[in-house]
Amino acid sequence: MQIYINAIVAGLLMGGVYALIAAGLSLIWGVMEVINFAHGEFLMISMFMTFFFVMSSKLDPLIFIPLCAVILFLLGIVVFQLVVKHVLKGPMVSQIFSTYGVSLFLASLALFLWGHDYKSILPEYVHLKGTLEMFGIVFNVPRLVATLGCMITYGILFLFLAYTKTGKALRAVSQDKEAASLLGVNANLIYALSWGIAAACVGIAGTFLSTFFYIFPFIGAPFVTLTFVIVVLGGFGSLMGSLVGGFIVGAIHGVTGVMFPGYGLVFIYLIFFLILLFRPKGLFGY
Amino acid sequence: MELKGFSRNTFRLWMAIVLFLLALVAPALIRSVYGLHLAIMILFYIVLGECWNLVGGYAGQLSFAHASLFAFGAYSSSLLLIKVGIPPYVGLFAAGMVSGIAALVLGFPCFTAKLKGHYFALATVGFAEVMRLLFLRWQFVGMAQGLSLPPTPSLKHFVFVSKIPYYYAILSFATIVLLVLYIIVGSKLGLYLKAIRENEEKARHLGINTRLYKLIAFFISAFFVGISGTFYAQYILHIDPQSIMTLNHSIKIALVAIVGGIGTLIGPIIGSFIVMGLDEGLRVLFGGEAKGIDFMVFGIIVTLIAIFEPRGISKLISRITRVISQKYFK
Repeated sequence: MQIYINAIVAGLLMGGVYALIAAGLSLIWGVMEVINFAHGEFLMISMFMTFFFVMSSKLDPLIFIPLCAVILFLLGIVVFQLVVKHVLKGPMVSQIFSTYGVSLFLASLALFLWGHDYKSILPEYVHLKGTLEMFGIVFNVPRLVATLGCMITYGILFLFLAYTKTGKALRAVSQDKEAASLLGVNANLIYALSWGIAAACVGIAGTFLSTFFYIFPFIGAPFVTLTFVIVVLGGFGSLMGSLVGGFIVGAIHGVTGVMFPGYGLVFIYLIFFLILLFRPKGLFGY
Repeated sequence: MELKGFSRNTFRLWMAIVLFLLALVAPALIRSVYGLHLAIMILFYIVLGECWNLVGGYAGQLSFAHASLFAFGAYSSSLLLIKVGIPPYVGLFAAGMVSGIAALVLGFPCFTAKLKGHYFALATVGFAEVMRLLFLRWQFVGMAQGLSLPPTPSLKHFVFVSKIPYYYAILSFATIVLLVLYIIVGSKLGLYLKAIRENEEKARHLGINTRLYKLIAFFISAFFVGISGTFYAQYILHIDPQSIMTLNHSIKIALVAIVGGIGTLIGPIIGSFIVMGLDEGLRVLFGGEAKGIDFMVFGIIVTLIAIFEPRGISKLISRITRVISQKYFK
């Protein structure tokens, strides 16, 4: 029993990171109905950025969260302006394959610049580390910090969308682009902004992830497929759904990994497939 | 362009005949073994691209499960050969049937649940990932190491030292597939599929059983993809999940059709030349020291095509020829 509880807790501690990555994907879908296939590569870029900042400055990785968020924000806007803006009115095929081309480009760029060795940040630079034990349950501290940090970011995102004027404009565009434009919202600006925010969320998740996870050019792919599962589970375009979905997928991944070693992901994709068949709008979709 | 007694269709027929004759004598022109290998792979991806195109292009259902369907075919005939000793000439029909039935098993629930667009695409991604992960851990199919076929050359087992027999085998198979698809596209089935792609709701209200026709298209596509799986296994003599069942392989199959021109017969032919040519050419140009540059360029090209000519290079070519013909043949 103890082992299952520990597995669930370990999974839940990844859940916050998953949720924040999924939030970006869901936000982009909610605003303009585009699936960003380069999302995993945004995560990879952020992890490499953190790695090089830490290696050159010898400071704690968590200090670089704002910097990575800003860099990724800019990257998101650049990708939108250069690529996505031009395929918004195009067929679905060109939307999928334009972002797939970007993902291929970014992953290969990382391979070219930094090689395909696995890297990880030396533990001496991570100051919040080790494990905590409460009631016989083991908490991995870097993962705990990551999940708490991602949830705080999530809270800020919620507040931004709910109470600021820009956030309200963003929600307005996602509900009805034409009507929002008539009321004086610059839809293109909102689109660019949502790409920036989505990429910044991934940037923050990437920095937290790099404190305890290995880093290499193709780290994006496994995360992005898991993120599809979360977004489908929670419902496309629903931020609440991504949050809950992230923790559910984390917990299932943890538990099935212990119960059926090696088959954990099979269950996750089976659930994904079944959700698509029987409730394609997800748990919180509308 | 309407020259005297020379309509568009006769022009197309002549072009097809010339291309086929060129393909027939190609092995005499290509002297190097590597060149012949490249020609075989181009023909091979023409078949895969055309099959994907029937579902993804004509019926408008983006499938990312084609690498899995392909692998089912490759694994069925190889298992029959290794475990039972049934030669691949018989095994290929089993391969086609297994892949076709797998497509029905995937397609039936998806089409019954009326999944379409991004949702159908994601469902096929989920299906393909489950299959890849299961094959990686399934003892019977050799797990991550995959299956190796007996490499002793023999006509009975369809294993040759020279590449020439493989070339003519895949050329005749590609010709059959193209003819079948040509007939389908011109038939009622082809019209139904296009109607489904353009507007599925309207098609259903006009009395077209959309689920049935999508399933038929998916089955035919998977049947031929399964047989090309047998060819691949016999040619490479080794199959494993990580090299043929990944999402990237499905995307490559789809790219052949998309780069060339989605929803046209000529599209995957042009696309296969471009994708395989770029793949090999960029590797020769930038391979070795600078890892990654080849795929960086490839990614940029894919993005540019998606932005500027989403209907593929064949559309670009026909646009150019129209401009030229209007200028010089008036």
